[in-house]
Amino acid sequence: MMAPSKLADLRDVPLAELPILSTVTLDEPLGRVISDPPAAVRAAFSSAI
Amino acid sequence: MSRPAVPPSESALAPLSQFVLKVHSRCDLACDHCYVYEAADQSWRGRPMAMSDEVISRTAQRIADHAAAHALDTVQVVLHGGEPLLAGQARLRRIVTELQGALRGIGRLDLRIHTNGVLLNEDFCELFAEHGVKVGISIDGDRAANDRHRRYADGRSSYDQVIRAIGLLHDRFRELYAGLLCTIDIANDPLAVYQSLIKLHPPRIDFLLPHATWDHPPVRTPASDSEYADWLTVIFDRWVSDGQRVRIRTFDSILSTLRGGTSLTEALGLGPTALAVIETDGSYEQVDSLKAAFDGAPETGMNVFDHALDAVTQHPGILARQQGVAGLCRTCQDCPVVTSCGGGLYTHRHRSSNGFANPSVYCTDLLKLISHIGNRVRAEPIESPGIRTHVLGSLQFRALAAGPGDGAAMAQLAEAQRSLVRSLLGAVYQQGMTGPEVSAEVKAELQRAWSLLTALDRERPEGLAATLRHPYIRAWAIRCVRQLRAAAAWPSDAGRGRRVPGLAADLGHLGAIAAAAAVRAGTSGTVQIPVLDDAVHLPTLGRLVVDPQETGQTATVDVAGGLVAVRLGGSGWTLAGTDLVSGVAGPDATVGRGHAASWQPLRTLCAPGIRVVLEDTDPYRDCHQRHPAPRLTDAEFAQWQRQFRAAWQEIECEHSAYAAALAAGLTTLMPLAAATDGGDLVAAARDAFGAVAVARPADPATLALLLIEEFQQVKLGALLDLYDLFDPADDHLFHAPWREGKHLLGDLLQGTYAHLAVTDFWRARQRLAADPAAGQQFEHQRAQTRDAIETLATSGSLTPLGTWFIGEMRHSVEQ
Repeated sequence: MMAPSKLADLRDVPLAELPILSTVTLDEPLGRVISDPPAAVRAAFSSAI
Repeated sequence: MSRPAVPPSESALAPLSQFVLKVHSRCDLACDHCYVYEAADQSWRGRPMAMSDEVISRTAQRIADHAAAHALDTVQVVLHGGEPLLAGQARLRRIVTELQGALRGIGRLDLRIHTNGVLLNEDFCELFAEHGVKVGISIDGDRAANDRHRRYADGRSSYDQVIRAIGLLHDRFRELYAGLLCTIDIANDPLAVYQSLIKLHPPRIDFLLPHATWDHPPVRTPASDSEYADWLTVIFDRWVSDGQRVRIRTFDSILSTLRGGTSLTEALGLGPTALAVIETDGSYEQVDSLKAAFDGAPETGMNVFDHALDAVTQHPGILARQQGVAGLCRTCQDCPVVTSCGGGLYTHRHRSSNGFANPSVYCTDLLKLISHIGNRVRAEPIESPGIRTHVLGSLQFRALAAGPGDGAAMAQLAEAQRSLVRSLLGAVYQQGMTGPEVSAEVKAELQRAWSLLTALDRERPEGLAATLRHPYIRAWAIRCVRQLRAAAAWPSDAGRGRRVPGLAADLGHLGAIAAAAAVRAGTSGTVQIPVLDDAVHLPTLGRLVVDPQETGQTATVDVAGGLVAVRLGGSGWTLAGTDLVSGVAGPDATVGRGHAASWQPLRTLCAPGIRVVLEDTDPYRDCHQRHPAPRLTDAEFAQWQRQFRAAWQEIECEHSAYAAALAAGLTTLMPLAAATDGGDLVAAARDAFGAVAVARPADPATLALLLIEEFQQVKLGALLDLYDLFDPADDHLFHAPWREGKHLLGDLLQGTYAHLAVTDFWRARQRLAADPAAGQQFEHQRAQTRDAIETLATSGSLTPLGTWFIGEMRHSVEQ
């Protein structure tokens, strides 16, 4: 078995949830959802979600 | 009082990327656990109630300057309070427009508001939808749990108002719904709290430990020192057994950090702080939970009028939280769970006698909770954080690397494309609904189409999946996302509408996709569809060509009772849905009034073992960097059918190794306009999985070669969607044996992979026909492919997987 790829498996994620998935980030040029949390926002403010 | 003693250091400067704007300093509730009003710091009493226009402007400019100076890709701004909705719609509108204006052309702006929800109404939501502001709400569980603390000053419950606000987000403005924040009270039943929150369908939950310090420790029972861990553990275990139906930030952060990843919250992990708070008077402050430590704890002594944000990054309090393990006390440094815990929330470490050089006052809870989760992870696989990834089997990877691939490899690649297209649909909808450059009318149609699509996804997923397999839906979605991103980055509003003349029509195509899926699923729905090239398009089915004199830019399409009714201007037509799906509907299938219209179905090329759609109607098929042929006549289609059947016979007989992957993965053939010089034309597109575009060549053998060669691009493109085979940032140029000039490594890899198949083609030809010309072609192609493989292998840019892939290619070409 190969290592996990960079493409999140969203087949069973309801379509309605996809616009509000906040633990994934979109690789915009390819439209590829990467499953790592975005590194740009670290140690996020805990008093908001 | 004690402040961290960390000397300023130029080398330690890390940019800030998250800004909490205290847009209003008062609250309409009087929650007795609120750190803003009930804790040691009482600075709110001396602040202006709301941010002034001047503070708003200076704040937006300071953030934009900081983002530009540090080339930040994304800036997150949280509108906070007090209660931020008390600022009112006009002020909030001013704040978001100032921020968007200042950051346009600099970086992406992720806007959020966190509210108690009491005042949230449709007008606020319309404003947030217009500007793409996501909304988080505080609620502590069911009515009993929430009423324990979250009350008005006169003691009234706020529960009903909060539930109404959450319902509004869930039912009407779902794309804005960011999640729920729950402050723990161990007097509440954890499962009751969890289940009450789950019923509100949040995309995300977080559980906050109530703010406490060593001077003011949390409420505990005499018999235990880890009630908070026990309380959260009950929820964690249920969350796992329930299949993690919702993201829970605390648990996701622990799972992520246990595996070496990053935390999603400042309350855990070793990530550096990147956060600054801006108060209503323009003062810069550190994270506001510090108010629980001592009076004045968050202060920096700086403000938006006199100081750039770079100065804030040098503040000792900020620097102290960028030291990782080195910034923690010895007890924490020696702790086995330090990478997950990170010492806990900075505020919770405070003791008046020695400042922040302590473990968290919740240390025993954090150690127990993280250990429990770690033990569960070791005992059974738990996905982290919530989203699985696609995995290609090693046999399939090897089959692809050898050149031909196989049916199983194509099936796995196709499944991965399903995820990719679904994510793109979500991105188009989310960015379309929150893009300020998109009109309210277009947003209303987007919402209508999205409602139909999500209903189909729930109730008739097969019909939707069949539509989403169409290769040009990805091309369309990428086009939309790029346009939305480009429009958002333009430096001013001037001329924006003129510069994206096709954006509304492009976004309207979501309705066409929804209608086509509804027809396939046999369900009902009504959408607006843009008229493009004098036709109403239904992807995967065909198009209704209307009179060019027909008025109206959009058609209304009703799908109901097995019929598809199209209305445009004063005309209307009806088609039978089952005929559209089966493909038997012809030009005269429409029954209507007003002007005449003609249905043009998609046609299918058939040969034993394969069926391929001949796509000559889709408005987004023009993504192959070659001109599509216009709609084929019946006679032209018949020529294609004869040639395709003969070409497939040759592929099956002479190049059978390549037949399996083609049969499994080639779904669409898009006719190209003939080359002016009469040469062969063929093209694939990264954004059109399963499609090959080709001008009909002179003979079936050439078509067989062109299909085999170009389908390599389809296979490799889909593989590269999953795995990096080389460093995409490498901009070195390399020589390709078959073409003048130098090329990027990715282009050389694509060309080499195609040439590997061409080599195999001529290898088979020379063996079967003992044809001297074929033998020469084989030797020539093999020499060039060998040469290119060695260039790739010695490029220094291959990943380990890429090295494996090239090794398999080398082995294959030498056979």
